[in-house]
Amino acid sequence: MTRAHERRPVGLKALLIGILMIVGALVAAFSFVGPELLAGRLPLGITRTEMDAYARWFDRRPGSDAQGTLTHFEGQFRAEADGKDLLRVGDREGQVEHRAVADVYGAVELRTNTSGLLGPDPWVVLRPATPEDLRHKFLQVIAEELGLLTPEVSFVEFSADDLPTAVHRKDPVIDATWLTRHGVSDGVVTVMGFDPQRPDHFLPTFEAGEAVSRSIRERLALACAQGVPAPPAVLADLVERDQVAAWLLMLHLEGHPDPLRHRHTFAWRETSGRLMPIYRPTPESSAVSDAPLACDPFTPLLADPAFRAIMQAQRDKLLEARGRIRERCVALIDAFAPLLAGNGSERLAVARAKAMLAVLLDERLGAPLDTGALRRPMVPPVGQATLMPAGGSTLPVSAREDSDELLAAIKRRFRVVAQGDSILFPRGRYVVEEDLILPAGHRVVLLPGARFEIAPGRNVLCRGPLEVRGTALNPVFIRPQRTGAPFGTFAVRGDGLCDIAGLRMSGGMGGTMEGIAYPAMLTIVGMTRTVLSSCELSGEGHDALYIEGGRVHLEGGSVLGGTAVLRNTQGAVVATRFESKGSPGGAGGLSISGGRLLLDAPLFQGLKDVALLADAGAQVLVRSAVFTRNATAIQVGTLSAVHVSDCRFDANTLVFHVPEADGGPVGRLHRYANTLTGDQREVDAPGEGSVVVSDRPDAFVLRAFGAE
Amino acid sequence: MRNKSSGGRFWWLLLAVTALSFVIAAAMLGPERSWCIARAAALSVTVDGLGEVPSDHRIPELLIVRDNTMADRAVLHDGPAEVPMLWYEAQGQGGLPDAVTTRGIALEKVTARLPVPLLWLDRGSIVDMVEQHMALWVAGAYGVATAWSTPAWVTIDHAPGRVMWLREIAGPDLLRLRNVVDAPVELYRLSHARSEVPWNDLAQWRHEGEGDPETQQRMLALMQVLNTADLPAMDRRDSLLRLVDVEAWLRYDAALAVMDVAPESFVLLRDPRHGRWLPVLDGVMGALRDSTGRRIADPVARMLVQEPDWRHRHQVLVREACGMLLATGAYDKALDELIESLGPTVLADRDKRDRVVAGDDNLYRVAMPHVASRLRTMRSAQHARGVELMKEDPHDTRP
Repeated sequence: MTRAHERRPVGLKALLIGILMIVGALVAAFSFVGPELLAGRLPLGITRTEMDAYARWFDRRPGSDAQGTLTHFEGQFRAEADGKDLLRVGDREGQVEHRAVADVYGAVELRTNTSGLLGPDPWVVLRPATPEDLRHKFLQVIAEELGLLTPEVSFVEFSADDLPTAVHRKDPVIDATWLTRHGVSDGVVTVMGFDPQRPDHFLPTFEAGEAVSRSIRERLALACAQGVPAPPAVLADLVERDQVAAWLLMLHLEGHPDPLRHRHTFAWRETSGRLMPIYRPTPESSAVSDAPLACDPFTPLLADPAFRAIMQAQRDKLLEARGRIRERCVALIDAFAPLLAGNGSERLAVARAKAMLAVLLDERLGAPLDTGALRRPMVPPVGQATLMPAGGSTLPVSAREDSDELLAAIKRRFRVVAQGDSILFPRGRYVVEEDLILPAGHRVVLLPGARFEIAPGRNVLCRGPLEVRGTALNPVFIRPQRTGAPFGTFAVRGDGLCDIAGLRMSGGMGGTMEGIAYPAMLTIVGMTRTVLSSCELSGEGHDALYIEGGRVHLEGGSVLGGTAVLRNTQGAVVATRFESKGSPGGAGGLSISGGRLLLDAPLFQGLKDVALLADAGAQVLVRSAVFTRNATAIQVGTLSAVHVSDCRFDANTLVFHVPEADGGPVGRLHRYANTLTGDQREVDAPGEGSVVVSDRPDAFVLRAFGAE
Repeated sequence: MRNKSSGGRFWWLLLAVTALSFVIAAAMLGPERSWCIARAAALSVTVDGLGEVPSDHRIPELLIVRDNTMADRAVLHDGPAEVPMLWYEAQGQGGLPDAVTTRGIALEKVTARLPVPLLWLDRGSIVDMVEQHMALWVAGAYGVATAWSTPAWVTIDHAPGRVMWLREIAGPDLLRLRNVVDAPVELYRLSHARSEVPWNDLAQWRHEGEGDPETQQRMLALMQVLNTADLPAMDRRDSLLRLVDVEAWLRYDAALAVMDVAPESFVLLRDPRHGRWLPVLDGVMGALRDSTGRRIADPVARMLVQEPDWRHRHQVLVREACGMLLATGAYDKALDELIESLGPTVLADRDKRDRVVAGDDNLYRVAMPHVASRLRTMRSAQHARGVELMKEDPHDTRP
């Protein structure tokens, strides 16, 4: 009798039959079952990785022919004798900086000065690609359909040193250059996350100077603090509504359960003072939680029916364009899915890509718009009431006392008049011997005849709106207390209107207050609108005027012996004089960095360096201007465009200078009808196509500058 | 038959040795302590030992590989990220991976899941670590400047993994890491808080930062205010307003009162925006008590609440914190989420330790049911404390 618990050895024959049966079943499955079924959800706990392994062995059917080709990037990153890394792309070769990306296996960041080597963007990240990366491409196509700013995803082959060739996804790094290239020359790259526990999400990261960063952060914190949810009217001023609606719709389409817990990229438009989203898909591997989110300026908008209607309209627009989007995406699948399959099954890769597309266009877009997943309860981020009291749930005692204390101190020191929320400085002499801070929440008014005398190295900071009511007969003066001993700065930082008329100011050199550097004698940062009329600013070798952000209007008056810097502003400079006044450094002129400005009938005279410099994507129309006896009349820097029309150039050393950028794109000068007499040299523009000559500006150019 | 007989003798011998060791332990430690320790160890083996080791952790998994040639160097692996790190300094007894210790680590750069470069790595009682995390959570949610903290499954040199806690070391970069300012700030730190903090001896405080002479003057000025008993009330109030962020300090002490804890170390940060001192909470320990059992606050908080309006504000803040965090269930939700995320990892930790004997600070190996029971006790104690604090009259401004 056989004992039941005795072990019976499995014979070789039985083993072979067992193996053959499994192999046969798998071959049959891959031969007769459609790839759509195999690419879907698998039974018996079979994972996608296991299916890929089976497919590698048992899928014997031919795959589709890839219609796309990939550019090959070949890196030589072992530092040569000169310590440079080289990258070969096709038949081109150039020097690059490279570094490994810590959080992704095999990813590398490349940056080059060689124009066009890496494609249109000089700074990119390459990550090993899988067929799932096609989803990024689909999302890019949809985002473009919605008119969102989104970086272009592409695929390349990459090999470096001993690393074998593999397909990589190429993503551009979003920086100021990228923004300028996409027409957002007044944008500051801003990264925001909304996990209340994460220290790096506490406040946005800005690629900007500290003065403007702090100003924006305070505005955001204040908007979030005005109740949770914040009233949409407050938020409407802070964001580009249509763009944000499209961006939230994209997050909804992604189907990520917790997209706002991650950092997203935005552009802060300095001229409009609003946030504009730049769409990038949320990383799928990122954390998910049911916990509340930190206050953000977007979620409360979802409670506004008008805003939801915008989202709905954009969804309808996408539904209309669905056929076109699908066609584009299917073409992408045909071109790239087989290439991205690598050693895996091409048929499975194609089927999975089609399934991803179906989820996006049918399952998510086809379903009614439900923004519930995006609407999370909001709490202040950790430590907000202490570290950013403006955004705290209660008005801090210290801030209140701060404001009262400052006001009381000002009243003790000066004969000021407090009228409601305004602090009036009537006619009289005000000697500032210590740093003076004019508190937020009060409009400061300097009346005709007010005369500030500021001690050497001391500063004045106005944290709120400023109004200077000087006249030609009765100006307002801001002067150093002692001749030859310059004061620091008179700075305005905040929100609202800065209206300055009839100001005579001299003897400042820029200063630092509350740890923030204010670069010019008169520094205005973050104001919504700045108007300077009939002011005389005398820099005496230092920067005389610095305005960052917002709309500006300079009319009449003069800037003598010091440079005026306008950064990311929009507006006009009308009939203003810029002269050197024999200052020691020969400094002076107007420097425009980013933004869009109309210069109407200005005078630039006797400047020993550049009279008008446009840089960092600035767009300028100069009309009816006079340039006399300057070293260089107009210089056009990287990515900038200057239109010059009906101007007179007289006895300048060089009239137009468009320097060759170091690997990057050059600026462009548009010359129209102008009068040149007695200039030593007319143009220095070695770059190809950097000067465009035509008769008169097109109507759309005039319209863009408001000069019709 | 011979084999069976010798096997039986072995088991009898093993039983005898076990019984004898228990008798010796009982004689040395006392029967109650021995019983508690033996029971906890036995449960650890039988309950947790038989449980299936979960495959997926819901908290960060980190691997630290020490450099064999340089004792203070190692490489931290956080998913695909490999970051060189330095062992910073040690607190407590012994070095990792011993039972109770805290070691500082300095990462060369932050990773996606570790957003700060200077961290304490705590290894001790799991319940104590949860308590510390929740205290930091309460303080942070209530607006106090606090250190970031997270639990993690940490493996050091391929030894068995352990549940550990990573906690930000508050340093000069605290505000910069939060994008509040762009440059490091100045701070003073006094580790190992004691009931009698040397507020009159600057030498015992460690300065971190650039070394701005005004910072030292402001610290000395604060010490002078605290140590001048006969300062007129108005002068004292003005000085305190000038030197410390009163609201921040009242909020800080209110959070400590709600959690009934004391700061593990005093960290005073000089906020460059207004130049005043802010307290930062980067770790807690049991509250310090006077002979009547009342919690002892730090000298600055004690001086602030001598002012009737500030005392009233303090009481309002305490009530508000209780209401906001305990009455609304926010505390329970956060604790539930933490426990849920820790569950598989705590089960996987075969060497988790906690106090098992009342009045004995030594840590012994424990099982999941013990941890769950202690966490229940912690939650109910916190609620009871909240109810007690809510009963206090906010309008009673007597000292």
